[in-house]
Amino acid sequence: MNFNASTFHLGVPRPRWADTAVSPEADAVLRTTLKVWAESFERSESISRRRSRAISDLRGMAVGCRSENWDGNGAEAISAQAVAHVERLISLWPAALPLPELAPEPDGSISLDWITSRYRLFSVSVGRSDRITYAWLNGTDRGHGVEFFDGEPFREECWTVWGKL
Amino acid sequence: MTKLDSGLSEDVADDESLARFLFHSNQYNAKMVKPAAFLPHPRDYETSVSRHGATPLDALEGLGRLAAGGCTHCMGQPSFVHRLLRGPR
Repeated sequence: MNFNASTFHLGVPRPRWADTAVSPEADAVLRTTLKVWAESFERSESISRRRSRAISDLRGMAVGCRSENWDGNGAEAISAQAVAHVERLISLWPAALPLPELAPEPDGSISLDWITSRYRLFSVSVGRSDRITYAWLNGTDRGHGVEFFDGEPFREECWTVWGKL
Repeated sequence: MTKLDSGLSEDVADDESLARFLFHSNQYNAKMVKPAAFLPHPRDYETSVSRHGATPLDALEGLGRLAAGGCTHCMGQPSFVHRLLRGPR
């Protein structure tokens, strides 16, 4: 068997049966299994890190906007309910999709933005209530809508628009 | 055309430069200013912008702090022409 350190990365433990004598076919299966296992481990750790970073960014922003008038123009403080809603949305967000950028809004809501370019973007506003509003721009095409946050990140119509961008 | 004390005309021309002062780094990214930075205040549904005439862009930050009542954390000041904010007539 020709296992070396590079076969096992990211701390995936080397199983005891990896040292036993096996046929070349079994060896190939073993290598593939270990590779898939390691990649899956790496991916889940990366997703978890991305979510942690997004939630850390959210909390940092909430602290920065915790007082009224954070914009010098009478903006309302970011509400704890909005932070809780966004945290939940981030934790439910499908792992394979990019997480949004966050921005504070003058009414104490939080904007979640997926920005491809200045002409292609999708923006969702999450506030105190479970009502979320969204707006999008795709070249000369644009639109907006309202949904209710009921434990799922978005409902179908919102996903349809999001998917086009 | 009526002139204001500042010397600017009372009417804002379509191609006149305006600035919007930003007070949080999350209001922009490396590509652009985010839409939330231009949302109107719920109190009066107005968005505050500044007409800066020929003022050099690097002097705008100080003006932004003054406009915000001495607020010390003005993060930047995107400048754009009036018609982009107003939208098509």
